[in-house]
Amino acid sequence: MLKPEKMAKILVAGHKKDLSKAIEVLHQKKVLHIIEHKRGQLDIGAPLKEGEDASLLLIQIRGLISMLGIKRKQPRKELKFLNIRDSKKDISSFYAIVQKRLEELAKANAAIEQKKKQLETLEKLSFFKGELEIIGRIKSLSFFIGEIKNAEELANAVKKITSSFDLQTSTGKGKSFVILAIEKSVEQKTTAELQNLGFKPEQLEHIKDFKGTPKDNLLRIYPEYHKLIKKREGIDASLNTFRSRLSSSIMLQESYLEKLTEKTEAPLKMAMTQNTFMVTGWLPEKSKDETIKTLQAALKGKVAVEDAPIDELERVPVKLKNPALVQPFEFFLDLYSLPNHHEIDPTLFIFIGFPIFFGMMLGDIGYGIVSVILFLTLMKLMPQMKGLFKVMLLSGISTIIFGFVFGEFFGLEELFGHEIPFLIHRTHAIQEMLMISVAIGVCHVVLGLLIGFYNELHHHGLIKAVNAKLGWIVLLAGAGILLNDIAIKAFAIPNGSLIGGALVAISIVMLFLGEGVRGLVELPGIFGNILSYARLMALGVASAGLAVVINDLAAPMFNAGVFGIIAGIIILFVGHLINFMLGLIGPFLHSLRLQYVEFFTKFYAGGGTRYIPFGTK
Amino acid sequence: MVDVGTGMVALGAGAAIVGTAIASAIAEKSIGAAAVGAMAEKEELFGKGLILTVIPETLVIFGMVVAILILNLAAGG
Repeated sequence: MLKPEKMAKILVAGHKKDLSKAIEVLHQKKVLHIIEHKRGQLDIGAPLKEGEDASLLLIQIRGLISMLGIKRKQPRKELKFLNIRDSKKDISSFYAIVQKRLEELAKANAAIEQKKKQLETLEKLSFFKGELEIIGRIKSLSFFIGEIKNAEELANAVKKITSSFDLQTSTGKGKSFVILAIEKSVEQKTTAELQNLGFKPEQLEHIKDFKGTPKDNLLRIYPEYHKLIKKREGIDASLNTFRSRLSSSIMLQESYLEKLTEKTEAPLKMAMTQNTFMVTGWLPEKSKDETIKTLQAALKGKVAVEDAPIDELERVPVKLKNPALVQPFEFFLDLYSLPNHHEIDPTLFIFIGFPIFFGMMLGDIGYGIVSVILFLTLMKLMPQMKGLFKVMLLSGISTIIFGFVFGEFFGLEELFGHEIPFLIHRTHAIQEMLMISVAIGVCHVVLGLLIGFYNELHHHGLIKAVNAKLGWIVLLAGAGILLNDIAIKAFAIPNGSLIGGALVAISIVMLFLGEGVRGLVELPGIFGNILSYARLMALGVASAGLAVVINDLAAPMFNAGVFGIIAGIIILFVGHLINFMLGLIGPFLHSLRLQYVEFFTKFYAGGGTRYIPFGTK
Repeated sequence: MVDVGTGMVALGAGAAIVGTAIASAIAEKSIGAAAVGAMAEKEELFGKGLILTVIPETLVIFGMVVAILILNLAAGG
């Protein structure tokens, strides 16, 4: 539990003609973390020959999936066998058809868009009885066609410029559409005037080649537009048929081919000679014998398996080993960095520490119950995030427990006139809570240092471990005694300042020997670390205080009639909802921070490689 | 109404929090931006980024402790 799974390194060698069978067995067992062979004295292998077709097919299938917009979901079943040659024929023809259909669809969409614009413009112009071609043709006239707010204003303005003009208007809601024909000589003047009146010219680019009246053109284009819409529906329908016909089978094919290409590409990670293959990899020691037996049986004994030499500095892949209840907390190590293979796996300590810190900060029976219900529901709704929700569920339970410790229910300290039983009221006993928080901090940091001591002991020997890790504990003890003697005076220790001072001096020497100058520089840091646990109290008081404020705001409302009661309920609901959301985010991050920054830095090196056995991609 | 002395004590405690909180915020602002930038390049850096980002937060905790001490001194004296 405290150490990652013990790993063994093996080397498998055999004849090339048994290669595909060996790969099949290893792929099925899903235990061997293959170490990639680097091209050296021995070359790497070439992909198995069915690989090329399979990967081409896979590319086309993925292309089809994205072109058709098929939703990806994990297939329930698994394909046992796929005839690649037939499947390739089908898929390439589908691919070609779908591609063509999509092109047609894009073309149709563009054409529809254009017709729509033409129709819109023509509809606006439909009050105009003349023919469209005259607009461009009469060189002596300038035309202004577009929208304006007030047509009368325009008419008056134009009259002032010239008397020879023609203005046709169609008035709609709050604005008018105008066609103004005016002598070319006063064009500039008119433009300026129109700008003042807020004239918006209509874009005529897309109907510039039209002949005849707007009505005629409308009658001509409507059927064309409808024909295009029909055509688009047809293409959509045919794409939909493809989608529904392929959606289930194509996913099965994809997952089959993914596995197949993983297998056919496996030789790229192996060493090859003319007639033999050789693969090295890590696997959990407990499944070693069984794997060897299966390999021997499948290849009828024509395979050599032996323990491979392990290099001192080699990176062993790390597989964490924890009971089911603790396992979800491995998530926090994934987020940070995996432990390397010879240090302690701290998941168990996070499992204990994280919910306690979280509970201490949120600490309210009501919020705890809500969060338990919330995360139970979320677990059902989003099974892929189950790990994180389990963590939060345990934290929620811890919140309920601490809610009883603090005697709080949605910020209330009494229910129906009875006081909720409590051990300590955190909003009143701030001083005590601060002391408790710092005491927890000391314990947590010392625990971290002890784990660090164990890691150092196995890595660098006793002297270094004592100096570098126990030095901090001696420093803490010395500083504690000094503080007691000077300020707190809780215990009477004879010659307290002498003993304390001596311990501090000794610890400084130890740290200098253990960690060098860096240790001395970081001396004040440890007190920062411990004071940092004061947040356990601070966040709790803040969240409880906010809850009390919400309750106090809402309480007088309930004596103020029906509307008052409604308003009170809204204040209570919204207020507690916000406080609850803050209460989930804050304690989560701060609890995590105490683990990562205050706890992990005392012992954790990390940097482990993840164990990814062949066949579990 | 509280007397002026109590108000001054409260202001003092508030100033301790305000100063340290602003200091933390300024420090975390630049570290956070850099950490997010690094994470966009390499997602595994989340843990390291978080640690570096929250280190200055200790400042505001110190401020809080000082504020509590001020309040206590005032209550005792």
